[in-house]
Formats: sequence, C-alpha cells, structure tokens
Amino acid sequence: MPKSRKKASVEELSAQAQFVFRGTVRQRGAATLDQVALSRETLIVGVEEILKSPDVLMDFEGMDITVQLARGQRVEVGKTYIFYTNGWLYGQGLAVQCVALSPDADVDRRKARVSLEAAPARAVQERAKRAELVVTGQVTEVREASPPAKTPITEHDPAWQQAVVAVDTVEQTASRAVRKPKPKQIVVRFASSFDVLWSKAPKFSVGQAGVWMLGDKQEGAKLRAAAGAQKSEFVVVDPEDFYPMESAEQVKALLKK
Amino acid sequence: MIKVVNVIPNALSGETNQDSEPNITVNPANPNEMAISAFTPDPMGGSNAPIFISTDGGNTWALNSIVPSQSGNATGDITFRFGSTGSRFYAGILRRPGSLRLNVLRSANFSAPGTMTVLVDRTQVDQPYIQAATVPSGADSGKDRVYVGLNDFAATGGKTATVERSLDAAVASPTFTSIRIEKRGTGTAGQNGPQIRSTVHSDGTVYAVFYGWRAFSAINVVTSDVVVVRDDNWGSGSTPFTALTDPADGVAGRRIATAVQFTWNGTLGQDRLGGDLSIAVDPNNSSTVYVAFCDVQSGAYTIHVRQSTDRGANWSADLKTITNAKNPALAINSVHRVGLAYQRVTGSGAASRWETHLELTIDAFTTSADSVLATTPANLPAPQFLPYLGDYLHMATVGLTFYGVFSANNTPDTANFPQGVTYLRNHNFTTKKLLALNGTTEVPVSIDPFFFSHSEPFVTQITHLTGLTSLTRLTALTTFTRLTQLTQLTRLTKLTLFTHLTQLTPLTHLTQLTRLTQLTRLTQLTRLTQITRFTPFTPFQGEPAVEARTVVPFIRFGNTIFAPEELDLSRFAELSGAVEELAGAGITRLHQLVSADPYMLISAIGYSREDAWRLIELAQALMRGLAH
Repeated sequence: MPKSRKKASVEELSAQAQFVFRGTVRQRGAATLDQVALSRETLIVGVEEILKSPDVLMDFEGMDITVQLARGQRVEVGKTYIFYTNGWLYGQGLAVQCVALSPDADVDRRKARVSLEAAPARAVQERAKRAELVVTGQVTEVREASPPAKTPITEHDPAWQQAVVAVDTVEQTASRAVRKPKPKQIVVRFASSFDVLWSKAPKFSVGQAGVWMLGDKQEGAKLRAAAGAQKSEFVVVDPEDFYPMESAEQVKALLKK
Repeated sequence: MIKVVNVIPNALSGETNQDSEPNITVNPANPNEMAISAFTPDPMGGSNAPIFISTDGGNTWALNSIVPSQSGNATGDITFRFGSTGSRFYAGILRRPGSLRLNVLRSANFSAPGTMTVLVDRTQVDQPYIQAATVPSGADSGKDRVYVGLNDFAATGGKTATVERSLDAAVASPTFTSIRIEKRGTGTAGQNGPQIRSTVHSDGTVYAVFYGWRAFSAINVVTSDVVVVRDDNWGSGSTPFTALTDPADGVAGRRIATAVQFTWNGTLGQDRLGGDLSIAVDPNNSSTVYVAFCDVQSGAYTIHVRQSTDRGANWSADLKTITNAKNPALAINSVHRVGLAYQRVTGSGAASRWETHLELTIDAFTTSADSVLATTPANLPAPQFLPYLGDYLHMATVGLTFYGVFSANNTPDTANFPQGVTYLRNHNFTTKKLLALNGTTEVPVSIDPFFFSHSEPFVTQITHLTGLTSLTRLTALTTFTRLTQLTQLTRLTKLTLFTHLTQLTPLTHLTQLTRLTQLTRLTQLTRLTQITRFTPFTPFQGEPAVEARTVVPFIRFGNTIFAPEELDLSRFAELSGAVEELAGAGITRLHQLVSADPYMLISAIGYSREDAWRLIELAQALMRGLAH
C-alpha cells in the first residue's frame, strides 16, 4: 500500500477482504497454479490459520496457496503475516490477490478476529440505516401485483406479487415513512419468480413472520418505479431486506446499539 | 476421440452451486485457450462473476473472476467469443444488479486478473448471444466484427429481434449499432422471442435466425415463424441483413418454418421451455447453413434440424427431429462434418434421465453417429432456480475439432458418462461420492458444467493438415479420403490411385502421370494441366466426359505394392467373423478397412464405437505386418 495513503483500519480491511488468514511466506517468485504468471510479487504462502473465508475454501487451512502482492507490499521469506486478500484464480490450487498485510502480532490477530466476528452484525446495522421503515409483523395475504406498464415477455420476469403484512412493532422509522399512529399494515411488493436473477429475492407466504427492513432512503423511489409499485408500497428484493422471526430478537438488539 | 471433463476445479471441490446455462469459446488462434461460463458466483462473494478458463486444451480448468456483477451473485445471461486472431475476448451479459441490463464487454487477456472493459451499457434487453470474427484480408483486415443477437424491448413496433453490431470492436471506444432484423408484424405477441442467434463466415457472410412471434395467447401459447436473415458483407451496408427475402411475401427474412407453436414457460425434466435456436455455417462453404429450432409436436417439445445449400434461399424439410429434447447446438468443422449436441429426457418419474448427445454426420443426417456424452438423473438434485440446466448450451469448432459444454447432475458415476469422464474436483468413482477439498467430507450432488471435445479420426487429419509435396509417396486413396483446398497436392504420381468418390478441388493439380479412373469426378473448377487428356475448354456439366481407359489397380502401402486381391478380407483369419458384415458396408479389402471412417462402421453396421475402433486398429496392425 502506498505510504502516502491513509492506512486502512482493521474494520475497513475486514470489509474489503474476503479471505483473511495468518500465513508464512515459503517462496518468492513461485506459484501453486500453472496459470499464474510469475513475478517477484508472486508468493507461495503456507496458510496456518484462516480468520475469514467462505465455507468452500476453509479446507485450505494447512495448505500452500499463491499470493500476489500489490505494488509496494513487502514481505520476507520465512516470516508470518496476516494477509487480507481477495480471490483471483481457483484451479488445482488457490491464488489470491493481497489487499493488505500486517505482521503477525497478537494484537493484530485479536483485532482482526473481533472485527471479522462483528461483520455480519455490521451488515444488519448498515441495512437498517438505509431503511425507511423497520417493522416486525406477519403476512396475512399474498396477491398478484399489477405489473409495470409495458412489461415485456421475458424469462427474467420478476412476477411481482404483493404481501400484506400486519405490523406488530415498528422498530425504526425515517422521516418519509413516519406514520402516527403506527401503520396497522403495510404492503410489500416482492419477486415471486424462480428465475436465476430473482431466486435469492425473499419470497413470502401467508403466516410468515419476521423483521422487514423496508425501503431505501437513497434508492427507494427508483426501486418503486422499476417495480411499478405505488408510493405506499415497499419493494423487497434483497435477502438483507427480511429476517425470519427466529432472528428477530437478535436483529432488534443490533438496532438498539 | 471424445473427451468429457467436469470443469469444477479441485480448489472448489466443496461447491454445490447450480452451474447451469453453460457457454464456451475456443481461441481460433490458439485452440488450447478456451473459456466456459455458467451461472456460477464468485467463490468469495466478490463483485466480479467468474469464468472458467483453460490453457491446455480443456484438460484442466480454473476460475477467473473478471465479469462485472454484484457481490455474491453470478452474472445474468452470458455468452462470449474470442476474435479470430490474437486473444481479444468479448462477452455479452445481462449485468447485475438489474434484470435486463445489457453489457458488452472486452478483455485483452482472459486469464489475467481485473474487470472486463464495458463497451455497451444499456437496459431493456434480453438474452444477448455474441459472435465475433476478425476480417482475414482486404481493406479491413484485422478488424474485429462483433454481433450480439438480442431481444431489444426498446425497439419500436414490437419488432424486437436485433443484432447489435460493431465493425471494429477492438478499438478503444467501438461503435455498436442496433440492427432490427424483424420486418413483419408481431401480432398479439407484440415482440419477438428472446433467442436471436447468428453465425459468421470469414468471407463476410453473416446469418441470423430468430423466432418471429406472431401471437401470444392467454394461456401462454406462442405462435411463431422461424426466420433466417443474411448479410453478405459483414452486416455493413445501408440495409444490413436483408439479402434474403421470402418468396411468399417478398419481405426480407426467409421463413424456414411457419406457425410453429410451443408453450412459454413449459417444463421438461425440471427445466423450463420457451423456444430454442441454433445456427451454423460451413466454415469452408458459406452457402451451406444449418438451423435447429424447437416447437411442440403431438404434445412433445421437439428439435428440428434443417439445411440450406444455396445461402438460405431454399431449405430442406426436417433432416432430423428429436422429441422431448432441448438445447440444440450446431457446429460444422473444416471437413464439412456437422455436429449436433442436444439434451433430451428419457423415462419418467424417478427413472427419468437427462441424456446429452453429440450426433455427427457427413451426409446431412442421412446417416449419423450418435454418442451419448452423459445420462444423468433428471429428478435430482432439486432446482435452486431456473433454468435448471440452461436455456441454451453451445458448441463450436476450430479446424477439425468440435468443442462444447453442457450442464448436468454431477454424480461421479462412470456409468453416467459412456464416453468416459474426468473429474478435477475430488470424487470417488467407486462409492460414487463427491468429496470436499479435505478428501473425506461428502459433498451433495449439484449441477456442474462438463466440457467435451471430439477430434476427427487420424486418417482424415493427415489428409487435411499435411502438406503433401511432389516427393510424397501417396498410397491408395480410399473412398473416404477428401482432398480439400487446403491439401497442398503439388504433384500426384502414377502410383496414385483415384477411386470413384475421390473429390478433386480447384487447387488440386493433376499431372500427366496421374491415373484417373472412369469414375473419377472432375468438377468445373478442377484445374487440368496441358498434358491432361482433355481439352482446356471442355465444359464439364453433369457427369464429366472422361475417356475410358484400362486401369490396372494396385495398392501401395509404404514400399510394398499389393494386388487388390491380396488384401481380400477373407484371407485374414483374424477378421473372419466380420467379413460378411463389412462386405455389406462395401468393405471387402484390408486397405479399405485400414482407412475406414469409424462412424460409417457404427452407422452402417451397428458396431459400438469401441468395436469399430478395435477393428480398424486390428486392420492397421495386419497391414503393417504385411508391409514389413
């Protein structure tokens, strides 16, 4: 990382990097994959402890991988570092690109662990910050929604439906959405399509209960327009827009922090 | 001859994604370089979606995340192609976030890290399907032509079938132009179907095929024409893609089938249906073009294959129909062999299977050799989304070789892959289990992409690729030997024997010593030397006027010359069991069997692929023994 830039915090690095590990530099100018073009910045690193990784790559703990350093990053062969990296090539082995690294001091390792453990909670809090309204409630009705004008026939049709949600509690409001007294019910427009572009969008059925993080202070109007929704409707297409009732207490606690 | 490889790399042994709707491209300048796409998310949840890359001819694969997308998600629809020279790599995608956002992308190096450059970014577009070619000669030599077939809902009048064209896509900021190729009304449908496919010949001929929707009923039944358009100069003129008109109405766009019907969002083997198209032009003859399309016949979703040999003006009836099948992919190699890959459902309920086939023909499907690449359970695993296997797959050729990709249930069971299979991810063929990277944890079955390739038999490869000089001693040419324009025959000696099916091309030079039989076919374009016993101006029409001569046939192998009867199959005890069957296929002598096309043996006699090859190899061994 260039010296002139402000050093990123552990929290920032934890958010930027998807694969964080403690590892020892074994070899410089070498790689574990044939497809990697070698340079002085190419390292073989032994992964000793994985601090953050998707499940599918957790088994790389104890194995050698390839790390491509960014310009200006310095390491010594034989020394151990905490590597903040993102994926590059996945083949016979793994190659990652280094976002940042720090010496393997206890304090840095501890900071990284704390930060990484807090990451899911931060994601919930950030979604809540953008929301126009956060409620708990239960779906009482699901119905077809009128599509936007000039909806073409396409395999990627979201197949909009409306879920009527009986509101139990209002956890958070933003100015646009403030209603007093609290709304008894809200209407949520969601994509019922099973198409690849919409399969991860939350689907709702009668009786389903949970926490809805509704609207977006910045993008809400655009989302409504694209979905052909009324101003009174909320468009829910992101997995982070809804949490099932089992997580409700946890989510509510995070909102209070 | 056929190679099948599960392309999920070892590093991702634990993955369980539904890697469906695969596409493939092979670098014509270096066929060892190839890429495959599928609905595969970045393994680390990054904002770029990955492509599968291989630099060793498809033996090993790695993921490289270079396609701009949305964190944690696969890209939407994606197809890609290399230019014909260099390593420029183009893609057409539906970009996330959003659902109908077209991006046309480019990269100078498909295996390097980074994000592909965005060339086009706009909305209201469905199913971009890209083709690319580099102009080989002339004023525009070296320019990359790129064609993206797409359904553009911004088009007026419901004529949405579009080809997005760039005549020079390699420059820093290329210009793309939207060419509307539908010239008829779309009736109650108000739009065309999403499949707009193109094929490009190096002489500048570009064909495209699309469903010209004419009606869309309240119960989602589509009524459609299948329309082919053509341009003869790279789609560059003032009225591009209007070279073909339909004789019935005089409108641009030849209807090769009319009023075909199918149900939009129908189902087959857990997958969805909504139309399928494929088109391929012969790389050595731009007049020959094949189309595959689907409709419903007697309640069954059916693939049809048709052919034109006059640049799309006239079309055959069905050369081939396959019921309960989808995802047709056509390709034609450099010796005119046509390949058709497709997937069909057999059986029902728990016994239902998805079969993936590769069918090859040299005679427009009068005969063909059918290889089952995979036969996998159709009811497992449960879909994670649609499409289950894909709204399409793809096959291409470079030279003689066919390269393709399909998606299927990834159970590591060798019985599911009759041509053999290689897994890069951890697996156990004995227990039929997938294993995680640690080699012990069992991994659930999912849908994976499988690469396949098919190479021509060795004998044909010699004739096509070998530069034959005046010093080359040619042995007997068989009925299946093809002398193409690329075969450099500078001089044929008196020892060369031409049989009645030997095809002479414009560049074949015949000398005074060449022996021609009564049945040797000379075309109007065959160059004859001054010593040849024909007048220079003899108009050859129909059967050529060939002077009757007495021919004393012989067969030469290496330095040994045989009288034909010496090679009668009945003289070889090792072949005694097959003599009658082979005779039925016109093979009565050893040299014929040595250079026989195994696919002819398979289709004409019914041999298995293994038996056909074993027999040919045995004949070759016997012939070598005789020559020594």
